[in-house]
Amino acid sequence: MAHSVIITTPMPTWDETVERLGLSKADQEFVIRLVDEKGSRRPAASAPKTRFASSRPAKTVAKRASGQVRKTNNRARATA
Amino acid sequence: MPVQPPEHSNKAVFLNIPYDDRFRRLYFAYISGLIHLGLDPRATIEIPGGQNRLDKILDLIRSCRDSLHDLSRVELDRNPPFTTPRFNMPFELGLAVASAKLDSTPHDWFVFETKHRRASKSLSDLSGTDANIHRGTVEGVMRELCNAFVRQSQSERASVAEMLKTYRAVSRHAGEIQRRTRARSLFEASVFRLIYSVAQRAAASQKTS
Repeated sequence: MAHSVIITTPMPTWDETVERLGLSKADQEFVIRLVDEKGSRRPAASAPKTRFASSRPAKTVAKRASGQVRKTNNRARATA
Repeated sequence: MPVQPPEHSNKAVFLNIPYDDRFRRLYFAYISGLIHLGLDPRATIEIPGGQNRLDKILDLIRSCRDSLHDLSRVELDRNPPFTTPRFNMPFELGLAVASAKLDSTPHDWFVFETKHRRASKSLSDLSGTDANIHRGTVEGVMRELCNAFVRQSQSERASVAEMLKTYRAVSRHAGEIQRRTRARSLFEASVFRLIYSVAQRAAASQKTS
C-alpha cells in the first residue's frame, strides 16, 4: 500500500546547508551570486521566442499581422 | 543481533536514482522537491571511490530515515562491453528493505516508477507495495514526493508550484555549475553539492519573499 511519512523537522537554514555540504567560501559566494544576484529571471539569451520574434522590426510584424503589409514572395519575384 | 547503524538523521533521504543524462530533469526534480520539503537528499555520488564502496553505500542507507528508489530505468544498458540490466537500483532497494527490517532505527522506503504495475512485474517480490507513479515528468515526481512526505505544520507545507520554481532555478544554473566544477557530468559529487545548495537557497528565498 502507498504510505506517507509525516515530517516534523524544520527546513534547514543556509548555514546548516553550508555545514552539511562542507561548502568552501568561494562556493558559497558562487551560489549566492547565482541565486540572489542573478535572481530567478531567465537570461535574455534563452528567453522563449514568440511566434513572430525574429530579426524583423516589431512595427513590420504588427503591420503584417494586421494585414496592412503582405508578405513578399521572394521566390516568385526571382523567377519573374 | 543487529549491528549499530551509523549516525542516523531524521531529515536524510537516500536517493536511489539512475545517473545518466536522460534522467537529468528528474534528478533536478528530486533534489528540488526534497529540499522544499525540508529534507536532506543523500546520494551515492557523494561517496568517494576506492575500497569498501559497498560498505559505504550500506552505511549511507542506514544513516537515512527514508529512502526513495526510482525503478523507472531498470532496463538493459547497451554500453559496451556487455549488454546488461541495470541492477544497482533494485540492489540498493534490497539493502534499504533489509535495513528497515533489521535495524533498530526506523527506515521507510518508497518505490518510484513511471508506469503502473511495471515494478510488480519486474520485481514481483514487491507485490502488495504500491509504487509512487510519476509518469516520467518533473511535476509527477514533485506530486509523488508530496504524497510520500507530509509536513505536519500546515504553514510549512510545500506546493508543487513552489517546487517548480526551485527546479527552474536549478535547471537554469546547471550549466554554469558544471563549468565551474569542470565536471564531466552532472552526476559528480562537486556538482551535486552545488545543485543542492542552489536549490536550498532558491527554496528559502521563496519562503522569505
